[in-house]
Amino acid sequence: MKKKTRLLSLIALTAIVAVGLLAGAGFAQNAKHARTAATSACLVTDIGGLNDKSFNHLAYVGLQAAQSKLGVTGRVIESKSGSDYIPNLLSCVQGGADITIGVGFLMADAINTVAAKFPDSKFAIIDFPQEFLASKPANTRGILFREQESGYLAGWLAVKELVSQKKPLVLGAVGGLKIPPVDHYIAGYIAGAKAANPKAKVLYGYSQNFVDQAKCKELALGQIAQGAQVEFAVAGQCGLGALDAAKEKGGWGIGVDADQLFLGSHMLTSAIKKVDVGVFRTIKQVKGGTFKGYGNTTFSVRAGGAGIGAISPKVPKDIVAGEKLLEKKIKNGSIKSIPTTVP
Amino acid sequence: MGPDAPVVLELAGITKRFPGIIANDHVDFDLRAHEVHALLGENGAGKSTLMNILYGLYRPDEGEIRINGKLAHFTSSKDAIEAGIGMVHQHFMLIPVMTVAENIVLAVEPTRAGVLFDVGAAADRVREIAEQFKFTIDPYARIQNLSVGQQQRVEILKALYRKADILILDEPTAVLTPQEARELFGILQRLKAEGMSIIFISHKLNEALEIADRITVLRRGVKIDTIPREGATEASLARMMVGRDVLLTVEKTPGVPGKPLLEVAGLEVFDDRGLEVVKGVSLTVHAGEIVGLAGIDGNGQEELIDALTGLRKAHAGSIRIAGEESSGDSAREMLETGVGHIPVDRQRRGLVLDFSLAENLALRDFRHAPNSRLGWLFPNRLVARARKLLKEFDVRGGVPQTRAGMLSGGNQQKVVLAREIDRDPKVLVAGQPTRGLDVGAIEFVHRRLLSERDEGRAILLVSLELDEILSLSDRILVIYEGRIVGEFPPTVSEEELGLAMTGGGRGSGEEAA
Amino acid sequence: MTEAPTPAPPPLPEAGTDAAPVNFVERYGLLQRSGGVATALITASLAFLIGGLVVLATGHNPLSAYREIFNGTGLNWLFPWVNGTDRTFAAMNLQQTLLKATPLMLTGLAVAFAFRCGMFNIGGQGQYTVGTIVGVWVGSSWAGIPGPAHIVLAIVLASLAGAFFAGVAGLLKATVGAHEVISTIMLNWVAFYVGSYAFGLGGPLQNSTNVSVPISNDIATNAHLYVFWGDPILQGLHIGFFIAIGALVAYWVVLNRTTLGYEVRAVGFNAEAARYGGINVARSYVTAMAISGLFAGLAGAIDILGWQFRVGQLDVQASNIGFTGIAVALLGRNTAVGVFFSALLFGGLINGTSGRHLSADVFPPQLAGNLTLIIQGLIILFIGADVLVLYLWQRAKRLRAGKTPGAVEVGT
Repeated sequence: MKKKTRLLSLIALTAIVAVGLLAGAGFAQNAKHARTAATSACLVTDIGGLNDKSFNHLAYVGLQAAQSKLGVTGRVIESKSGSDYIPNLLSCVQGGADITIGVGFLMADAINTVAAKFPDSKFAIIDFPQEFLASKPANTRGILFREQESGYLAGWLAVKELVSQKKPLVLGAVGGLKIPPVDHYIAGYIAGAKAANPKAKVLYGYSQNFVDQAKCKELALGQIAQGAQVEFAVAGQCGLGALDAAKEKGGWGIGVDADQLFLGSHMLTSAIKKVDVGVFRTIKQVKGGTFKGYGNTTFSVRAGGAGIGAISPKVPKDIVAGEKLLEKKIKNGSIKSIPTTVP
Repeated sequence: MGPDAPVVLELAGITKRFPGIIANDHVDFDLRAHEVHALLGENGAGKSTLMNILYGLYRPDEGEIRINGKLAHFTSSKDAIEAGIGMVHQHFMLIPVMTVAENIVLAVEPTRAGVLFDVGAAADRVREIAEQFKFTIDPYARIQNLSVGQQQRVEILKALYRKADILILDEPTAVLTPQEARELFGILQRLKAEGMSIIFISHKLNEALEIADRITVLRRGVKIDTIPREGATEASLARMMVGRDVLLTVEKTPGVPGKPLLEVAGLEVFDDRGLEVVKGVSLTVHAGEIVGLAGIDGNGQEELIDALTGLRKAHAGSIRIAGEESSGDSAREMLETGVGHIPVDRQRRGLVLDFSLAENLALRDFRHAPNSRLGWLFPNRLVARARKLLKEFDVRGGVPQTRAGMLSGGNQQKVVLAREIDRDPKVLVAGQPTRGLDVGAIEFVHRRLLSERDEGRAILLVSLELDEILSLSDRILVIYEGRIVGEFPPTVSEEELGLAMTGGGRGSGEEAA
Repeated sequence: MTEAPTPAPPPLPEAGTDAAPVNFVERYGLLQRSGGVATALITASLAFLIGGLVVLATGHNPLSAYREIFNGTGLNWLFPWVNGTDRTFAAMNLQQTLLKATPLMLTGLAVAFAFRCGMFNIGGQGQYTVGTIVGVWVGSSWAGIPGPAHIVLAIVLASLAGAFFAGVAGLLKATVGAHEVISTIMLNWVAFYVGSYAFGLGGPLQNSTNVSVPISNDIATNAHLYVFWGDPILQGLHIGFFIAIGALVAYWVVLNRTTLGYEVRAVGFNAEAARYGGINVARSYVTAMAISGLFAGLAGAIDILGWQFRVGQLDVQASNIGFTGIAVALLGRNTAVGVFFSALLFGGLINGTSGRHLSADVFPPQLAGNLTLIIQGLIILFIGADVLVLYLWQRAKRLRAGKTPGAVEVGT
């Protein structure tokens, strides 16, 4: 037994060492991401990962668009935990990226650190105002969105639809964490609903989670039990649970960030923020030499960076037309100062 | 039956080697029709190995097996079962929550009939077999509600149900009370009369002499001889087993009792279910005295031992150790006061089987110098001390670093004994100290207990073995249903003791105190 | 002997040695005794092999994937022929690997210590979280006190908080018999929600200047652990690594050289025998759980003081250091040396499979991270299954040599 054990461990050890040597020997020929004359952009996701079907995914879509339309070299790195942020950003900078984009407010500190350390490189961060970065690095730009405008449109549309269906004017919204982008959406949603009909009532809550669908579903079911006819899910993957609850109970669902109408016939529309547009335009600025650090670019409905997605074909034409009109009013500034905080 | 009965089973030149040891060295063995053939040997003599080979669990390195003259090759127990061999292991292979009939039938066709078998028919068949051999067993009783003896009968029924005509019983009496053992012997006689051939594995000489027609003795893997029962004596068998003369009953000089070291008065103890199982026990053990506590198992002995050693809180009464009031003390306090304890179950309580011998030997006093100081343990000192104790107590098969689980039962018990005696206790509570040991080890333990008595310790010997009680004790108390029902001198007859143990004695609680 | 009504005696299982192990801890104990280091190596090798097959199945070359992973761990730094910028990158990668291995060693110890006392501590995650909460609270308060004192204070209080938190589970087991698996899982959620609340908007530990972000205050700069290798700004390797090594040594010493460790091991192997030996089993449960929690709390503290410097609400929710610690302990067989190497393996694996090392032409970025999870999952699966592997192995051997599985006595 002893002998056998030793033999087997020896074999296993040899195998491991062999693989190791092989890998090590190959290192020299492992071409690092070669620098080319083309503009290069590097995207670092937060811990949500590329498959979040939300803003990390959309940022990647924007990068891919830039690759195909602008001919830039693109690279994307997923972060698996908080300790990945700095090494990932570093990897972008050392790989020679002309612009390094961090996705999400979670990356703020890491961007702040790395941007301060490499003043000659360019950085951008999505969903975080540049002036809130501790060292306010001059080579960094914040990419922000007016989620409240998207929420406003969605809330207005939902109430109009309920009116036409002669249903009680009760809306639900399920947020993930109570963070600014989430609250922007919900605040706009409430304002839009009230604008459509002052009697409209909005129930909202936070699941404290962006991942666990069961938590959002539970919250949504509670709101539906209190009469909510529409569920606005503002919680990433977790939010899919809220939409599921709406489907089960015969209510409407409203998606978030990306166009989620494909989820089924219970979907009314989606309040979207076009992170892809934000990323694409930022890269375009870098390529065109117009990128400036220090400050924020805010993408609004007017700038084509916010709005709502496709609308359910079940919605009457006149309401859809009314929504288009409302969009115009937001664009031309006749509707302004939509609240960004939830009461 | 007789020398001319046909041979139904023959093992010829069986050799089985394990790394570093030859478990069976060219062993020949044969079994005739209608006989009970005892296979006798000390622990580690190779009895179980031989039977596991016969039952298809091991494959022999050399030698052959013949069933009714035909060469047999067993690759698994299934082959052996098909050849008509049934085995009752020491540890029963029964499912506690299922009924007798279900267990018996499941064992035969575990896969094919698993879902669809006919319980009614099975129960009828079980009842039929049981009646044939005059068993009393309810086919619909659940195993968990049966006594150990009854469970063993289920195991035998299982073999009979599978139409076995050769039955192997591996140390069948080890788990039985004397009464159950007696009933088992009755069953075996009936089985024999009905045409079964039985191999009876044991290390108990008296059982072999009582039940067997022929006796084969193994020693260290070698067959010593096969002899008929007629003419064999315990002494002659013991000599064959151990290889030297063995004193089956130790010679004992009368004890010289000194001052009382263990005084128990009006002790009441509850069991785990909250029932009062020790009902006002009073007893005294003096220095230099062995007091035997006889009784049928389950009459409160275990709870009494637990209470005396601080492992269970007494409900009422007092315990004085060397004059010091100790009732309510924890196990550790009892240890410190000077109570040694040889537990009934050495593997579950007496030893940490995964610890080394050195660590086990320190189990009771690892907190004290020189084993440790201010919480620091000194493993080297543990080892040094272990080396000394292993030598003194003649523990074989291990060095201080050996895992306790690697030792044979007898040597494990020596380790327990060494540990308890080395602490120099005033009072030693010994619970069935020779349970499961073979004659050589029993002799050692008995001698040692007597010499410790002569050192001036007070020893309370709790045992189910009357022989042991009678040969070691200076006084004998009998416990029945939680009460001391009689006190006897060591010259008392087994019959009288037996009567008292079943509650029919002359004595009453009062006169025992 | 007289005929008597026979009271049914309790069954007397003579051999504890060959009785089938009933619960996970016992099964695992059996494995530990019989497998040695071979099973751990085989387990890891098999997991890598099958992970490679998975890579192959996706149409990529497993060898180049593993080569990139290996270089990603920075272990090529050990090869003398790697030089120039490659060496710089390798050093940085190795720093990150060790940075990740550091808390894993500690959460691995947290699981291992409880295991040695016969308990399964699933609560390493919660204890780690409590450690981070207290660590960041102490570290970001009292900016005035001198650095070393601040560090010691933060580490000690965070470790004690972890100890207390785990001790609750131990206490519940000791007093009312609540199973530690259940209670530690529930305590994980307590920590999760306490953390979510504390760092959430409006929470007591939320950033005082930046009120719109659910993140804690930064800890004082002079309370950062000294970075001894790499750039202190860019997450170099801090001296917490040596604290973890020290904890490994302490673990070994406590278990093998103190009466406390003796008691813990005795209880872990056989609680009844320990009780018989005068050991207070209930107290051992509490102590062992508390020490377990101490290790996990320490992990939280040194992560905070070493590189994280602040905690976000999402960090609390997304962290799985404590859970990975379970795998570390299992693969490391609950020994100090084993935990060290398996923490290195897991740290290397997590770091090496990061998307920044796998170039898109070798492995698509969407799949890269999942490869870590696949290999981790496989390792855990094989750890669970290697009892089976062992069984089959011994069974095969028995047929050749004639030995029963698990039997330790030869014949009777």
